[in-house]
Amino acid sequence: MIRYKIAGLNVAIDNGLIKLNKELAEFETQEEISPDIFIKLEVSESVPEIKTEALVHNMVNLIYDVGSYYFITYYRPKFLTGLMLSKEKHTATIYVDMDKYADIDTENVVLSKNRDDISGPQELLYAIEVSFYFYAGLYGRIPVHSASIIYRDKAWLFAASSGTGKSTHVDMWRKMGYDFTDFNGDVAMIYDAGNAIMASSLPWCGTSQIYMNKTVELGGIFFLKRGTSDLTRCLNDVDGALGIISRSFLPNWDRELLSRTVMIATRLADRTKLYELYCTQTVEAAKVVKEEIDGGMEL
Amino acid sequence: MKLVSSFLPAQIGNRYFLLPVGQATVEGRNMLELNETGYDIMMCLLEDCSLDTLVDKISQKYEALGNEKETIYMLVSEYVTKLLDMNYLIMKD
Repeated sequence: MIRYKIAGLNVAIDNGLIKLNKELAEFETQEEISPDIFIKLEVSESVPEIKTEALVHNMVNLIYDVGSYYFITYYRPKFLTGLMLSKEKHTATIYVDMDKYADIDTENVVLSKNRDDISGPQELLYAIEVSFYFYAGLYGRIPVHSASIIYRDKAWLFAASSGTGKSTHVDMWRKMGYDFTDFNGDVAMIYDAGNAIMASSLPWCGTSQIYMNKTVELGGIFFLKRGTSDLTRCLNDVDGALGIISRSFLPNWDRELLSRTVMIATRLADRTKLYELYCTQTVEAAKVVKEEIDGGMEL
Repeated sequence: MKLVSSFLPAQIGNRYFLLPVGQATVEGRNMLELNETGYDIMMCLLEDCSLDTLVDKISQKYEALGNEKETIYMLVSEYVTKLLDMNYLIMKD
């Protein structure tokens, strides 16, 4: 069993003999404390028989609510036969096809940018990611789909759906030569630590390869929209909460899970600087954002 | 009739919404913003409820009397018909 510390949570993964991806290795810890989240791989010929109707069926999988747990099955699985997420214990069980077990090696695998198009070893990494997000929500954490940077000692998230230009915006900061550090290329987790709202970079980062094992105070979130000019607008708490909900990777398979996301997002939005950013894909956008941040910090 | 399980009425701050859940998000259904009465109706429809019961609940909440209750019946009836047409509600046997 390997222990990890991710976004302040203790995660234990019983991965058998399968090599997990190298990004996870950076989050390993030797602390022997009881895990907040336990993920285990079960090599098995059979998975629990599901007799209920699926809550969700999308391009990749079917999601069932089976009372004491959720169960996910995959349409065209190469390695995985299912994922069980217990509602009673913070324990996920990933069922691995016994015949293909020996072929799984995820060490150098990069998660696909399109989560609707995963295959092969990515299935395992995706199942671990889904399990982590599922239970992290119970600890008041929200993974926000964003490219993020550290600037003036705080994390700034540029949130948007895929293809809007999150990474391009960060590239504009690079082009301008601004003094910042890359935080995560695809997702950052935000949470209330009592005296401050914090942001954690995660081992998952899409195809960007941009991640670090670090948690810093959250500066704010910019919700990107493509525009013909560059301007920022402060969002009120309600629009900010809606922005966080829409960019959250927390599961929303049923009302109970979505209610939880709404509650956490509302609480976080109340104490976070949130902006709408209409932007072009030029350096002007980076200038406008930097001015907004600098102006706010000098007040 | 009942609100389909793939939508959640939610109050965020002083505003009200009908948020898509699970399968509705996969199907690209959008969030709706509601007024307070719309939210009250949606909250009643989380459980199976006849039009008469729904009108009673809303009339009670807004302390409607006499003719006002008839007006509420007409308006709520029109509202739920639209919701049924747009597949936000299902009829139960």
